[in-house]
Amino acid sequence: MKNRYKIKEYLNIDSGKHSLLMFNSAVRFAGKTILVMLITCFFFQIDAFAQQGECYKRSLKSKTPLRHKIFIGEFENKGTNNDVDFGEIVREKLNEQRHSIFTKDLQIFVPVDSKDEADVIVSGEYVYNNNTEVIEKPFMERSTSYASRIPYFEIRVKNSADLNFVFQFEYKDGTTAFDTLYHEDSSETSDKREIKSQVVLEEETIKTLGRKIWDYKNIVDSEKFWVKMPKVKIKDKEMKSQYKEMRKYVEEKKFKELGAFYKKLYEQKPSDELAQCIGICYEMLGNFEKAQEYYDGASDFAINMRMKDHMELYNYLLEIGMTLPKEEF
Amino acid sequence: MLRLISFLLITFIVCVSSQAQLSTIHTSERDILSKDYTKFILVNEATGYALGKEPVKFVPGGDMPEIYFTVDLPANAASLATGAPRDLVIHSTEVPSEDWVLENNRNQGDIFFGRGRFVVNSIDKQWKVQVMDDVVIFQSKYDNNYLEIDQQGDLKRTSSMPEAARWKLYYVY
Repeated sequence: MKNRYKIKEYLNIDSGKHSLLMFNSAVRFAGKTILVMLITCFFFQIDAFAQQGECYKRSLKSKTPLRHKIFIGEFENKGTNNDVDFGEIVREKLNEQRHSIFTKDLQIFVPVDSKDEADVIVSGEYVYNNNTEVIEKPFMERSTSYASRIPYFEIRVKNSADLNFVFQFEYKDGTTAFDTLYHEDSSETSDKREIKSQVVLEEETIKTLGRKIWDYKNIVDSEKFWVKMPKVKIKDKEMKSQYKEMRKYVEEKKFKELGAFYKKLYEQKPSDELAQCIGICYEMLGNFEKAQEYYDGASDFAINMRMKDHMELYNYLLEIGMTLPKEEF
Repeated sequence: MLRLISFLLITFIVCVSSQAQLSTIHTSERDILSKDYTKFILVNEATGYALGKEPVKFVPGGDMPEIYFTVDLPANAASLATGAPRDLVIHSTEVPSEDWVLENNRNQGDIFFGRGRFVVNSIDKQWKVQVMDDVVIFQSKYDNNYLEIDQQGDLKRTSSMPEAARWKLYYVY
């Protein structure tokens, strides 16, 4: 009965007042909901950025390889020798898949058909010269037994070839970098060995060019931390034997120990190869600032490409207030 | 120690280099037996011909007739004394089975490459060598005429030294 009266009493409330109350309730509810949503979004974003940083650090462990899109442009022959199309050779080599028994796929960049979608446009120019020179060398008999010594000549044929190839890399951030390959070889007749023909010299030039393109493909394979450290010359015997041991640290991902070792060598005698090794170690540890310091001036376009991406994200994360680890050795 | 090694190395290299120069242009008796001839291409720059059984126009790097020299014994024994003029016998290697020798043939009155095997001390096969700067001329020991070659590649004799053919010797490895 009591309940019935309460209900009746409730139903007896003025309808206008009831509507207002309803509206107020609805607004309050909506407001609370929105507030909760905003707070949730806020915390989610922070968490997302943290995840990004963590994800980035972890991305090297993930199965997603680092790939850049390249547009392979024209390679102009600036010389007069058209015997070999070195531009076409470079194009083929850049497109070539690189396989290894240790990793499945090392295609570091993906060729694209348009300049607009490319991260970098690779182009260049070259000059190739080859020449055959006939040289006469005068001699005189050594013996002094006779009234006069008889003069004679030796004909020396000299084959030579040289290639000057300039690569140009135009990055999507507007910067441009260059790299040059210069290869020169010659062969002369002698009684000791056979002269290399122009064909042989040409083949050797092509091989050298191929090796240069191959070097551009040295980069991290994200799945297995496959890293190619440049070869380093060490004179000290003790350091040399240590170096052999340290090489396996790459597979064990002990980049701190490896980096410390390279740094010790670098302090003794700096070199571009050692700087690159130290850069790679810092990069693997996520200290991109330090890596950039050691990479500075490197002509390897793959490294430049990679570091641009690293530094872009790194700087962005710093801007939004992230505290990123700076591993040292 | 390092300096000593460097010095010895340089000396060794110099010595080896100098050994590349021929002692004499003629082939020794011992080398003839082993057929290790010291061969040359003789080129007359005025006509462009290379001397051989069949003279041909000279092409560097091409297949050219080759010549080797010997000193005929025993008549030339005197010429082996120090400071003596040298008389050479000029051989062609074009036909390996035969020994073709340049002769100023007294019977035929002509100069050509004739068979020389088992023929020694034949004065019409001996040639005196005279050096003119970086070329040589050949004078027949038989009649003192000089070897000449015309624009058609035919070998002739001339009594005039200015008309004698100047021969440039190119050593063949």
